[in-house]
Amino acid sequence: MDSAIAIRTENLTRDFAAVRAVDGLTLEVPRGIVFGFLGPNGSGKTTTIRLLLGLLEPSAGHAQVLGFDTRRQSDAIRERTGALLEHHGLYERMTALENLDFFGRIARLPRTERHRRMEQLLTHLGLWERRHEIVNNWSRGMKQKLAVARALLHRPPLIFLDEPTAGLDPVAAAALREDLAELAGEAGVTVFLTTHNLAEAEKLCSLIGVIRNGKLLAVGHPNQLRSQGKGQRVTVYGQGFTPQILTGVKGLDGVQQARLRNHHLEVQMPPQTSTAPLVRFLVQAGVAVEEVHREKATLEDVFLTLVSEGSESLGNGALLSPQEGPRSEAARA
Amino acid sequence: MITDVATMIWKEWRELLRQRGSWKAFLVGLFVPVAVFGIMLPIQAGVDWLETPISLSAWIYMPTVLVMTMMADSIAGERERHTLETLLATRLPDQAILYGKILAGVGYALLLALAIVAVGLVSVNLTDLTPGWQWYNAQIFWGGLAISLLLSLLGSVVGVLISLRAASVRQATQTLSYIMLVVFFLPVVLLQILPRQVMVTLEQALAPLTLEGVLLVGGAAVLLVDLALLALARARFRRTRLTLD
Repeated sequence: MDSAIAIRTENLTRDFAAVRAVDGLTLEVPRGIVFGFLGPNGSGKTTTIRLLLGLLEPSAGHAQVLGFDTRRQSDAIRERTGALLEHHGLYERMTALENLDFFGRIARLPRTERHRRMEQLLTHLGLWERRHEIVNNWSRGMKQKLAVARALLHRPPLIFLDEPTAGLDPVAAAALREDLAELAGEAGVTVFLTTHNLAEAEKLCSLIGVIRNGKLLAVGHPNQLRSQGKGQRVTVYGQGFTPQILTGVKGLDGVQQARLRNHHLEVQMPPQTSTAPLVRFLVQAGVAVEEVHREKATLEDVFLTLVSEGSESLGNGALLSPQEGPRSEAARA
Repeated sequence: MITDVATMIWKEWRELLRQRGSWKAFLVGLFVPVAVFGIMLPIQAGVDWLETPISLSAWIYMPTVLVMTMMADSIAGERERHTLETLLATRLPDQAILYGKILAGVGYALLLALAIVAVGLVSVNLTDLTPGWQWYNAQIFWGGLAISLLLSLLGSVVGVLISLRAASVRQATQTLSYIMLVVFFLPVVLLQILPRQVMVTLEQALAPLTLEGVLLVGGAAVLLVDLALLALARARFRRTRLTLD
């Protein structure tokens, strides 16, 4: 296997009875990057991680992680990876130090190194002073931080993080993201991060894959995804928006998507499209227009367009194809 | 493999000590069985406690029951507290996790049995006026220890097997309670409903057996059951299967 590639899957498929959770996933993740795996709930992100860790066997296709086959060499994969899965997985009756000590023992870190590493990580995350406390009494943010420390404890070249900031308040989430970026950057590890937080993906990831219903829809650098979204977002502030007006807006020429949000209207349109017909329609419909903003499509726009049904116009054709994206990225790496 | 099993035992013991909140609370929890089987009953029986096979039941029954309860939590508890998947995502081999959990239970039961034995010995000697220190009958002591080990293993493996299938700790504990009820009451019921002729035949068959013989035959039977259930647990304890559960 190419040593520049951390994860390679080919037609990876997993069925649960009649449900196809992962559907022909073909993907390459280069080493040393933060790869963001975006998708709505139930899109197959967690199942993909389980398949890559060898916790589940694929129904079809195959995958290699760090050069090891997930069917035959899953022990070697788990030895070389760290994971923060759907739940933090900490032993809440044990102290922070005991939790790390246990996972350090599992990784067979020598005692001295284990203790040095625990101190280093807990100090970095601001948890050292509370190392003797039972984890059960901690806040969710602190537990997530500790779980990140656990995943990084044995200096794995690859870590899997399954929605690490889910359920955290914005301050705790931002702090954890910062820690993640720093720790991953310092160690140069490859991070496979699943999330449905687009700001998080945009901030942390150098390569993003979008998955829906088990199918990979697109892969690319956040800027590539954004720029190739071939769209602009028009935000209209004003008063008097109604569902009927929204329906009317959706029927206008050039409008790809429209939605009402907190008393303003967001419209997705192709670039260079004039907003005059839109404004005229709104005024005629009785909306008191106060302000109109035009901006390039955000990652969120691209993501929503991709995962929403009936918007194939901005689908794979406009973005990097799943096969093209990571390979070209890998070549650059 | 041995290091991995030891690591699992280390973790299981840490969790066990804190099961009731703190290790002090854990020790207080142990006080009741030790007080009943190590102080009350030996004092009532006097020096006979060290000679009679009935004393065996005391330091065999309690640890076996407690270890089954402890094991109900072993897999179902990890699943319920969402720690199982993270554990399975480590490099630990399946068998190291399984054996670690079973041996942690066996060790706990044996230590409890030895504590009951030791406290019982002290209780008898403190209340007995015969000069000199009285000891357990060697046959009873070593036989009891061996049977205790085998039954602890049995309790541990049964506990793990039930815990593997249970959706929650509560369900596992309930199932184990039913099993214990059947195990302890079935002989009593059978004795009452078996025809007289069968009872006589049984008595004749058992009459020639000495205590040593009973311990050997009983021990061999429990060992066979232990090995069979251990093989079953090994077959059932598979990562991919546990992840699906």
